[in-house]
Amino acid sequence: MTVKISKPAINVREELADLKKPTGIAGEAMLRAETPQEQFNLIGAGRKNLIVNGDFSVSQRGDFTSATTISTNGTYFLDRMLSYAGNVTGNVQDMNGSIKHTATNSTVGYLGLEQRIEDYSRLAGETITVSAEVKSNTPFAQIMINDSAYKDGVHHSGGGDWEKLSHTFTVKANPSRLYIQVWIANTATSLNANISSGEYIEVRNLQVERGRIATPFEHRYYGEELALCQRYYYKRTPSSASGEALSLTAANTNGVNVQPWLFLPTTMRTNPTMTLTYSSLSDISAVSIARIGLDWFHLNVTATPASYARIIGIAWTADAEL
Amino acid sequence: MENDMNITVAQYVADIDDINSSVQATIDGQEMFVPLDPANRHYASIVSATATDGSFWGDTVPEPMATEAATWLFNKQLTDYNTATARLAQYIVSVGRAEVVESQPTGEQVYNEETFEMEDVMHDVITVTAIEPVEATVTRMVYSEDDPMAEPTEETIENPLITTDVAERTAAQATVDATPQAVKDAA
Repeated sequence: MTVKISKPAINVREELADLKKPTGIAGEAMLRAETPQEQFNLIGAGRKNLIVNGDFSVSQRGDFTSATTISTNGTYFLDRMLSYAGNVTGNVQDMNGSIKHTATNSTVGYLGLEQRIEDYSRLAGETITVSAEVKSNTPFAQIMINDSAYKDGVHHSGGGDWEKLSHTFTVKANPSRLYIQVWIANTATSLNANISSGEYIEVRNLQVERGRIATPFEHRYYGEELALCQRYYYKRTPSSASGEALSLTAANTNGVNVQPWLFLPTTMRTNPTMTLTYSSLSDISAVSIARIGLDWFHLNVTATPASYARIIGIAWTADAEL
Repeated sequence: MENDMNITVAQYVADIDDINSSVQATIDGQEMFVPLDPANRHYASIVSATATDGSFWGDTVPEPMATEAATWLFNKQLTDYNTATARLAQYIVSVGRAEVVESQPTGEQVYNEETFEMEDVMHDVITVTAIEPVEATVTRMVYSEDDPMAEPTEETIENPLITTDVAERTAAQATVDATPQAVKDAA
């Protein structure tokens, strides 16, 4: 028996023309990728942002929503962000999702922020792309890095609008550091730029990622970002000045030293610098901090005669910033 | 850019076993307890500041901080000295560099019938390439700021490459001159 099968006719020329459909540069690159890892890298998938607090949401040190003077050049205000006002007077302001540095005098200097990457040695010899949305009224506003020496990046137009800036750097093979700057400065060889009072730089969505492409900003939950920040800085604040007290029942002998052991919420980058504050001491003549570890510290308490001693309204900070 | 810390007071804090365990310091007007950890930026700053002027410790800098600060200063001077001598070893751009040719064995050997020994075949190898000195001066056009329509005038100045080279060599020589002999001996 003979069976006849019929199929609709196709136009071979049209089918071939479809195969030549242009795919664009990004599509071509994806098609040329030989492994899923290459494709993964091309689109910047996964956890990619090496900047902590790049959305400027965490500010444990205080509320800087009003303009705050940068009295010491190189000071942390918002978490992980080092604010500079070099040879110039200026202030910093948390703009609720962005950070703004404004000059308050006219001189020659530099002004803006820097973030220091902890694990820079893993980026040795690698290509990285720094990107941020920047608003400024000076063309000296720019992105730079410092991987042993400063390297020039890309400038803002100075037109006063938000502009997406991105620049690709190659980290040197043996970097001694990796600092990312978004600031008003002249050049890598001479940072001091002509700055006029009122000139500013505002930054949001700061990102550093491996590769040559500035992919969309990676948003993280506030809780994640806070936990990342606490590796470098932690602030313990009492709910009220008198409401929370550390009671030491062992301290019931005159002049005895006790060392209560307190813990930090996470392992810090290095043994942190501690500050200690309290509203009042009850039956305690002296308190200090002696031994400090990566996630703990000892109070050194000298008690006076009492059934128990108390440190009222106790608070502390732990600073392991770079 | 390094952060500028203003340290005004420092003293060791001993733990319950009377072992120095932290430094109580006033930094930028705030009292802090700083661990004895070189990776901590406040401790690193205390060490470097002590090397320069340890008066914030009181009349005398206590041990082991005095030794640690002296070691830090020695290592810094050694690093600076090595960097400076390496800079001075570079050729002077206004003088240039002469070619250096060395006779080196090719790896082949031939029999010398007069000495009855195998001898290396030698050839000349350029080990240092020659570099011509840069022009002593350069000419640039200068435009009037007052009159943009005015014809530019020519101005002859020292070659900026020479200016930079001289400045860097002068700074390097100053570093070498200021380096203590003990540091030079260790280099």
